[in-house]
Amino acid sequence: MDKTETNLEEALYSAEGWGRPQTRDFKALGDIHVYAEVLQVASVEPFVTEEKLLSPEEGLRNRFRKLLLIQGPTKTNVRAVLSLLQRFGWLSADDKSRFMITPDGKLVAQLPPHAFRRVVAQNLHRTYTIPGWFVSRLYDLNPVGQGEIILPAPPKQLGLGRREWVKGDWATELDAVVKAAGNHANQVLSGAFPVEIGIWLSKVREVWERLAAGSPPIKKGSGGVSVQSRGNTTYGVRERLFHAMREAAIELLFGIRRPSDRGEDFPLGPHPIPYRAFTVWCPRLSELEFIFYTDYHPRITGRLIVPCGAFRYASGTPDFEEISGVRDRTGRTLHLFQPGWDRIKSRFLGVLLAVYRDESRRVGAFYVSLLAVRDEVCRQLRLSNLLFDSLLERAYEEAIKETAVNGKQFSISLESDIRPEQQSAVGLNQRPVYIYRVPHSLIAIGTNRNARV
Amino acid sequence: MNSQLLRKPTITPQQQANRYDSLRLSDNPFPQRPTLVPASPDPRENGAIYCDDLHSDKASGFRQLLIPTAEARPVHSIAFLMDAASRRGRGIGKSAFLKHQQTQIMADLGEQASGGAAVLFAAYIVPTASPPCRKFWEFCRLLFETMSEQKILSLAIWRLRGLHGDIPEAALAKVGGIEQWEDTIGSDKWLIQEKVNTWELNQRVQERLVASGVPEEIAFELAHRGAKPSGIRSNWAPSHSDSFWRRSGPNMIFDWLVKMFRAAEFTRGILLVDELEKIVVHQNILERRSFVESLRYYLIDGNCQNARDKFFGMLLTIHPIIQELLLAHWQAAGLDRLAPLNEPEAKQCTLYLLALDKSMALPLVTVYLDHYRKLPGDRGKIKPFSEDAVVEALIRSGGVPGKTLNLLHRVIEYAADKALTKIGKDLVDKVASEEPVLPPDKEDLSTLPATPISLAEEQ
Repeated sequence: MDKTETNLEEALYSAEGWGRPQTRDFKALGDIHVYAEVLQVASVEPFVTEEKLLSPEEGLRNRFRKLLLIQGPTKTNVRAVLSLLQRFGWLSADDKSRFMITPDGKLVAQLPPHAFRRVVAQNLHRTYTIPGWFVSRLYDLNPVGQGEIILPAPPKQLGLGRREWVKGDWATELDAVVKAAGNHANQVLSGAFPVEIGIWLSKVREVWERLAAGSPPIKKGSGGVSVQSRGNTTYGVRERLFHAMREAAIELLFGIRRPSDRGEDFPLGPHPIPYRAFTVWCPRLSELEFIFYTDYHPRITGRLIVPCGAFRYASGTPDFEEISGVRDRTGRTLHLFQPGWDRIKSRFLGVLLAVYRDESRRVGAFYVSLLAVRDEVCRQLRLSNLLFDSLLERAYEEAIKETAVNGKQFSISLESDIRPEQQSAVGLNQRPVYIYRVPHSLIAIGTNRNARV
Repeated sequence: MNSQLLRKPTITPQQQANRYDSLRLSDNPFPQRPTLVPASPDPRENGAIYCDDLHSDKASGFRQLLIPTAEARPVHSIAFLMDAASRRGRGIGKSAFLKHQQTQIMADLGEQASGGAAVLFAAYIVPTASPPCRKFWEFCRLLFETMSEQKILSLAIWRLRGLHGDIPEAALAKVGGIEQWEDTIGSDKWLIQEKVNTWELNQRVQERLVASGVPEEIAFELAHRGAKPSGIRSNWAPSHSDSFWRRSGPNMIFDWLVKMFRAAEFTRGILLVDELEKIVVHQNILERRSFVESLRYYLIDGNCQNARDKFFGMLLTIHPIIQELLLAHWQAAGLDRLAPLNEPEAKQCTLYLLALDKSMALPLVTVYLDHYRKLPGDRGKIKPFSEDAVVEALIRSGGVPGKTLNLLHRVIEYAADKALTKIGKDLVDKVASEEPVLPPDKEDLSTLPATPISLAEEQ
């Protein structure tokens, strides 16, 4: 692309208000802890290399992602992280592929976790544009619902069996499943899936057919030779439908054009956040406290996403924290909802108790899933996972100290059993609630007979 | 001496009965477990106590849908009993209704129900989780085992023995009522005492079965083992084999057994299938589709004796969740034209059980109380309850009979503990409040509450 075309493109991006992304390569997007760890190593060593970071003795530690143990990063990941930190200006490289920490990097490495997250957020937005754009898009999709969005999925208990790979044609009974999923989203949360059902069905079928035309996964044949055989491979019908629905929803909701005025957020560009990028961005944005999302809300089939902040001209109240450098098209800055305990405790405990009671009635048990309660409380109060953990910790302390709230006492019991459903492949993928750095899974709340919180 | 070795219980039935003296009852009239347990000796649980007034219109509807009469009104091959009071279908009294219909039909082989125009049997079928019942052949095996346990196969053999003059008139006169047939015409020992050659008799029955189209091997087993209710199940090895049922199950039920029933001059067989969710919920989409298509083939328009004769009438109990799961497959199989499941067309072949209202609740409570009255003069009344108390119990339990009966059981226990003589609304309220108040069944699709947080700037 010559200079004239580049200038034109820049002009188009400027006119639309969103900066042109410096890169779309999402290989470097990993846990923020990895960035912090690399900087810590770089700040005490004269330099770091890929080999050093990969070595079992000196390299990056194993860590937990949700309840799964991640056995260290891959070479590709490490290379991408080093490149990204270099792009941030925190590392510099010599001609021997050795990376040294810069003065900016040293300052950042000393930041406490909260401040480190904010700096990473600003730099990721500057590099990718996606963090701020994503929050803005949520509000654009559902302005009345303050950005609450559901990406529909087929019901978990829907048994659809397996079929031979070659038999990939669409079954008409799937029409009803797809329509029901779309309608369910809007019934549970009004406006959460702002797509006309006919268009939705058509897009899901289009993606399904694209998936069906593809090659089956590679598997080992005899002698350890990898084979791809359409003839004797099967696919899970529900799994394919899930994938088709997810990809279709992403294409429809997070495309180039804004739903509000059909303007283009990324003119001349590809889809801003295709399927694979989306699966990587959601956990990152959640870690940055830009959004809360869950695939396991007890009343929602599909992925629920809610923003944990909004673009504002000013904070207005102490409940908001400005993230400078993350601006929208109109020049407003992103403000994350970060109320202090004293300002939110009454509302937090009220919602916590109401959600707990609903869940207790629903399952008919005194101890209920803390993750299910967390999902609904965060949705209602627009809290990030981290903020919920810290608020619940405070609530737990207050309960132990028998501190009354609104004149009434309450008791919170937390258990850290790993429940049977959490030991499944699906269960291991749910982020636990950390209280005093220990994952907890069950909660029970008692109050005085006439307690009002 | 070890007194624990020889110690005996000190509670006597007399003491237990005295507990309810203040209420003038011999026992707590309401079931502790308000669920149907057909084999239970407790009349409160086995369906023996039944309020005919409760669903009299449904009973009439049931006969219209499934039982042939002299007027030759067309009957349905598939009909539905829908729990319309709750989405999850629990406690409305479906099982009790079905069991009662079965009991009435089997008491006289449908003579009263059909006005003498038909000879009927009714089987009450409950799918089990183990063995699983997801495929149609597994369902056929369940039908066979149920008809065997409930003596329906044996009934056919007993009729075949008696209908064609193979047994002397003098012996036939001693056979007795339906409840005695197992020990008379069904017993080889009794027949031998009456000077009947049982080998020849069984041979004649076998020949008649073969003549009606039943395969020779099946005819032999039915004729020679079928007179004893446990005979075929215990002694006929293929009945235990999955491969037999996979290969021949549907033909066994919907072709060969129909021929046998026809030979025994049965007009119709009513299959009362309860808890259909135990089949449907566990099926995957392909199994569901295949099951529904098999229903159409074997019950409506396939190449089998049952479809030709419309012999079996099947009543399927469903609730709204099952209706939703089945609808797409029902339509895909074309059954929506023949036995519509979708509303509003479903009304033509569906009985709806709705939540109780006051006019239904009072007779229900009365029939339970009457069974345990100490004084005949108290029968037909609702005391010790006041009318307000019964209505309160109804409200607290959402109009679902199972929950209402359970609440009344607890109220009676409380009143017996306190030696009360009357039960008013306040007492019902108190007992109901001691346990968490359950909200009415919520639709899973109800809207979640809106966020109370406003993140956007105020304008």
